[in-house]
Amino acid sequence: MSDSLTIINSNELIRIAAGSLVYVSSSGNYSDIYTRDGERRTVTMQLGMIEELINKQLQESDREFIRIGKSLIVNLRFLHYLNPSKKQIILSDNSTFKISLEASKEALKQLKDYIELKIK
Amino acid sequence: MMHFDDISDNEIRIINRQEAPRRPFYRRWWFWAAAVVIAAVAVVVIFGLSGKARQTAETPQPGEVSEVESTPTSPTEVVHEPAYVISSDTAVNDVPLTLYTPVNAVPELMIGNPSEKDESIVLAVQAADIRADNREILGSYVLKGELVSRGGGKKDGFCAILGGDIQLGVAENTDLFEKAIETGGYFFRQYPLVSEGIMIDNKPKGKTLRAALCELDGRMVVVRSRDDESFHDFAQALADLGVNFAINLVGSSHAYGFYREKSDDGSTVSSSWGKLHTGAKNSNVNYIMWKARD
Repeated sequence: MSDSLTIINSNELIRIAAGSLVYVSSSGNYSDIYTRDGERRTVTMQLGMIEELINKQLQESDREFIRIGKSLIVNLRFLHYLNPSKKQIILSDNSTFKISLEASKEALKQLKDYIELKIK
Repeated sequence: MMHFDDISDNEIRIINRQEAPRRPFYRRWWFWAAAVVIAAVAVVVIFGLSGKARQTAETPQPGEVSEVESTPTSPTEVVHEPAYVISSDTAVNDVPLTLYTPVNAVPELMIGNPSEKDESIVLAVQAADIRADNREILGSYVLKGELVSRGGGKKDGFCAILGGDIQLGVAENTDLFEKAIETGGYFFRQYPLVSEGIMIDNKPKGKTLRAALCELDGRMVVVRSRDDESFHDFAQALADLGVNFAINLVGSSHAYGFYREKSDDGSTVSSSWGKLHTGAKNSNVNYIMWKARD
């Protein structure tokens, strides 16, 4: 178990600290990985494979990631705002970045219910 | 069996250390494989029995002469369906478009001008841009596994042709470039227009005739605008048309191309647009084209 995610393909190795990984979005057979420093890295991997790596590699304490539909994996520690009716989710560290993403109303409603349940 | 892609857009999944979600049995491959095998066995048994019964009934009696028809077969001969293009006109957001869908044809790239007289070519459209300063191809370009041009430009869109299949995408770096070299495939770069159904804005703002290579409903389609359009309006029209991925192709009234449609008598008839680019300064003019299968 590790506190960082390591992605290896035929050309490169990418290591990202769990706390720096903000979200991953799907782009067909590719995934775009966004980190706190504003970097975007594209890897030749489907989102499901990234999910599998997160599941396998990261320690449970570092694993606050959630798959939202077919296209997104977000780090819940950066969840700042959620509005299912607007289909909007905003990720932020409340100082350096604020990213607005779109997901389905139903998925975001489930996410809201999950977080509500978790804090009760 | 891990199935991390088994999720709909209306679902969420907490990623924690647990067994990956399991598909219900009716969504597993082995269930359908077993179903197909059982069905096949059932068909063989039923037809086998009925065939045997018929054979018994039709067995010639002593003294009768049976007629046996035989059809000459040539098991090694592979006959491909004729290749052609279906063209259709539409308009999206007041942007008039023509769609060209190749049928029974395989894509490849070529450098130089294709001949409209070559009846094996059913669609040819200019692919990668040429640099104005040195007349080299702009961006990475692989021709039948051979690296022709590497890097340069800021075009993140790409088209890889591997094993006769086109893959479009948007990425600064992609393994498909190396795969094209390793497997004798093709690769070129262009402006991305649509990614995952979302329109992408590009800097050039002028209006001209536009062309794009698009993935639409799982098929590869070339789309051309019939009027001068900005990148923005053209890309938005493609996204609204339902295109999943699209990259730009060489446009303007000067870009050359042709396609071959089926005529009423079953033969094909070609139509072209633009004008041929000849001369030494156009030695790197290049095309994506679809050819009939050998």
